[in-house]
Amino acid sequence: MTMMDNAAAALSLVAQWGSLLALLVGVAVGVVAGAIPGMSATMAVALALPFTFALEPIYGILLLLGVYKGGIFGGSIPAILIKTPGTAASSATVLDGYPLAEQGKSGQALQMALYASCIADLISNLALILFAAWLASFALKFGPPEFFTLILFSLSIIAGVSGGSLVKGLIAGAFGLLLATVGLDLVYGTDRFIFGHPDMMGGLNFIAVLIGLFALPEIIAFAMNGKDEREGGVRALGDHKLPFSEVRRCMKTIIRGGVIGSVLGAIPGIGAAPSAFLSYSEARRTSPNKENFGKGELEGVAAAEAGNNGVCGATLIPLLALGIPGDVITAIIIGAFMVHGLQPGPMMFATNGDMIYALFMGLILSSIFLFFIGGASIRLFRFIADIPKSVLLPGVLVLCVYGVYAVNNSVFDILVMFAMGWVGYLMMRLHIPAAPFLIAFILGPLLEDNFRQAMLMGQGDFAILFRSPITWVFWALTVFTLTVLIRNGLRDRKAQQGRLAVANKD
Amino acid sequence: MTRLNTDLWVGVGVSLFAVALLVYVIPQAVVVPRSVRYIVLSPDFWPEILAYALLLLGVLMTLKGIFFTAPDGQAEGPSLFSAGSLRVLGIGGVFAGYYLLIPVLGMVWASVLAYGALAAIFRSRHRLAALLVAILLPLILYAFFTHIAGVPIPQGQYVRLP
Repeated sequence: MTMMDNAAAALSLVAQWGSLLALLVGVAVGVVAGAIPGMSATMAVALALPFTFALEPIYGILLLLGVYKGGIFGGSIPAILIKTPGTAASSATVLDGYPLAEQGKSGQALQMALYASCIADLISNLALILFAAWLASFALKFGPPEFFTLILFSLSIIAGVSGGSLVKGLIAGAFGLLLATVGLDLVYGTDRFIFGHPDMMGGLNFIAVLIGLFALPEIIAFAMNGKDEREGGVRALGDHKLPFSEVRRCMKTIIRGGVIGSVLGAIPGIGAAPSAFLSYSEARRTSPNKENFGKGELEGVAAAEAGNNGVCGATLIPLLALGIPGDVITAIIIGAFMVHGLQPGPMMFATNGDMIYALFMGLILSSIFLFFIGGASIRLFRFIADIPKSVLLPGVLVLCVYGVYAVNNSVFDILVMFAMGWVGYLMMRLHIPAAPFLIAFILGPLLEDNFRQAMLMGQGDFAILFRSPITWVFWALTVFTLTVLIRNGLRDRKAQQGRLAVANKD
Repeated sequence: MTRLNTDLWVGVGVSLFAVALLVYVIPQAVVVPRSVRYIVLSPDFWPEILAYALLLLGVLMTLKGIFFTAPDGQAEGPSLFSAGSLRVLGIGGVFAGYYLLIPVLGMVWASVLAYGALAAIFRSRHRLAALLVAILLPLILYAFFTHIAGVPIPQGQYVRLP
């Protein structure tokens, strides 16, 4: 099929009431979920996933992408109104959003957040459309040794940037890889860590592990803390109208934030929060109003929101082109592809090109839907943000149980989810990041499978892993990344020791 | 116990786990065929590599815990036995009860009870809202999954839903 054929087929997929409705519902659910403190965009996408099983693949995936985009924007609402970021990515929005709310300008801050989110999202989507196909055509030259080195490189980045401690990130990643070995061996068909339990022959259910790891620890942690704690009350919307001159003034910052988000989003493992902070710090560095940053500057809100929404489309570049999730949310979305019998990666451009182009179109549409849904519901947000956690979290538990059961009609999966909930809580308490665990769990079978295929090709000789310039590039990148991460870790440790020494002196 | 450094605890725990994997779990739980063409293709090759990696990381973490004192706020170990621990135990009870009650009462009624128990543990002040959600949410989810998504939600031994 030519590109035009694919585009025409994609248009027929997207231009259906079902696709539009899925996208609309997804964005609306995402905005509401993101606006509820304690319901992250990750949790929203994870909980929405089981509801897509009964849908057509295109409807299901569009719905999840809508939840993702809506969730990232929705996180800015409580950040501005109650100084509680709905998602980690919205942490930078608090810096200027809440001071604006205190000045009675939360309506303007929310409008600026919406405009910045939609424009940056559009930039990110364009980056995806321009670069994904190019990267995928390049990746068609990859064989098992190249994929093995690529996945190893992705794991090194993910383990490094997901937490304050590189060693803890690597420990989490190693546990994720180990858990992925549960089930029947792919080459010999023998048991690995099954302990005679037939339910474990196919490996542990990815959705059960995911939901257990990300949703249940929040419930347990809330039980430990005991009450809804909020710094400050919900602010009134105040002055609602945002003058267009303000949007024009911030346009350069928004576009820069969108570009920063697109670049960082395309690199696996970086995520939306660092992008938001980088965009914010760049805006503060170059702004003529830099002294107002942190005291209630609309440009600060625009920079933070453009930075975090700018990653949304770009994180799909490694997912669609290479089959590698760029962050935790795209790791969940990869699960949706698999459930519907689709394998993201370079071959998908050849075998399901219509689906890829349909997703591109849907993503552009989602920016438009986000603009209208976000704009229309700004006045409702303060009620959404007020839902007490003692009513919300038991509901999340019920949703988790139904959702996990629905994947395989298996009560055993519920047990796996509960077990992973406790693992996730323990990791939370011990400051071990959960994201490298999950991503390693997803990439583990791919890593091992490509390694063993490469070994079969090379008749057990490790030299096959260095057979081409592509493998050399990925080895070099892996070594470079680990060197930088170790150097940064040592530097941070020295700085901490210096601070301690000064504190002890005092 | 809580005075000890978190890194040290994590390091020791991970190291012990890795040793247990190498010495007992992998030999017992990974079945290796008698004739393996290349050692790198053996079913236990990958788990063993990961166990050695965990051992190395565990030792590194232990050394970090011994020789590096974390700044304030991180130096304390995990206070797993603090004031909220009773509520956390209660959550464990709810999870276990929920799982065990599904085959007996069915998912809907087990969910109603689990919701109520959790709201009680959280000492929710919004009792009416909690009661309404506890009953309506499982029923709505049942209707969606059974009648729209075609997923047979487990029914109990006592009350069967249409």
